[in-house]
Amino acid sequence: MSSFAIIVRGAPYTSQASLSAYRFANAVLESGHSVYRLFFYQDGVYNASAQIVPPQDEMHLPKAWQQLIATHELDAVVCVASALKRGVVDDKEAARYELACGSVLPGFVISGLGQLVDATITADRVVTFSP
Amino acid sequence: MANLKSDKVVFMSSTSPWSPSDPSACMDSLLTFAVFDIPATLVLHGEGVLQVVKNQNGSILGLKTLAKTFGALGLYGIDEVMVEARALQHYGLSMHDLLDAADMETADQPLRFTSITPAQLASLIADSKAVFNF
Amino acid sequence: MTLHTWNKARTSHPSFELCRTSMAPGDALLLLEDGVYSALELAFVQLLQGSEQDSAYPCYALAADLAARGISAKIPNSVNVVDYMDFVALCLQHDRVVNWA
Repeated sequence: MSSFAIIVRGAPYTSQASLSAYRFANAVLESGHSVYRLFFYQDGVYNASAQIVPPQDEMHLPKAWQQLIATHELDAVVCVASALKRGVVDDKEAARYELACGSVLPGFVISGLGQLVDATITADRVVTFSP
Repeated sequence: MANLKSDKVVFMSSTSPWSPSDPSACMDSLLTFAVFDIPATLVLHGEGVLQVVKNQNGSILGLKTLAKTFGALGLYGIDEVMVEARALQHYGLSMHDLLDAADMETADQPLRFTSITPAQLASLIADSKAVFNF
Repeated sequence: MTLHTWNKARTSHPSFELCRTSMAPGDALLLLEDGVYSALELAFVQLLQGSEQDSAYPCYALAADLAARGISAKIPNSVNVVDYMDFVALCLQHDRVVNWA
């Protein structure tokens, strides 16, 4: 069994990156391999947003990610620097910066680039999905 | 099989210094790997070579100047940046057109820029654990 | 050995040129998303056949992306159609995966 670090750099719906990454993550798991970490970077942090309303006839990607993460207990990291500047904040950050509210779906963890370093060194393969 | 145990990483960057997110995302990641002592090489290709043209001044537009961040690379143990030969040629640039000590606000040895060919890039890639392309 | 991925609709692109010229023996190319449109380009198809100067490399394209774009029947035989499980297997058959553009 091999482990994969999957990096997602695109927002849901504004490019196909996140959808490809989602399908790839599913295929990794179905193949009997593991997802060491999902790392959402730059616009990829929008996949963790609880505030996205998808187009009516399309799958709800953020919720699909949330479901996948919950079902397989995946480590899903959202890069803090990318998240803050895009308004994707958890309750703690919202309180700290006195913002209206937190907006991250459960299961996603806001953390730093150190998690990307760890994932790169530890996982057997690193695959990036970019807009 | 080559280098399954390699810990080296390569960062490639191909966007102009004025593009919104990619250049600084690349730099932030690169520096984080350097902080964790993972050997990381930066390769500027395509429009990315424009990131290191000398005399840039974003303040004219009220913008930050990415070129200034290259001065910090030395502090993180990165003293060389690879620049794609073909891209330099495309833009009519020579090594003399690239950042010097004055641009990087450092009294120490300025960053060394080294031209890289596709074959050399292939070797760099083959020698690495992972490659990031911004 | 490296698996290179391409997701843009055309290969007349400086990043693709660098991708192509930096490929080494044992490397392969996977087209995904809009990258599958590249398989329609005459220049790209000729490239796949190799030449005196450049070796041919295995080229793969994701089935779902081809089908969604209505071009499954229009791509050359030299492009191998694969699914996501094959994509996973390809990642493991190579030492690393590099995304271009």
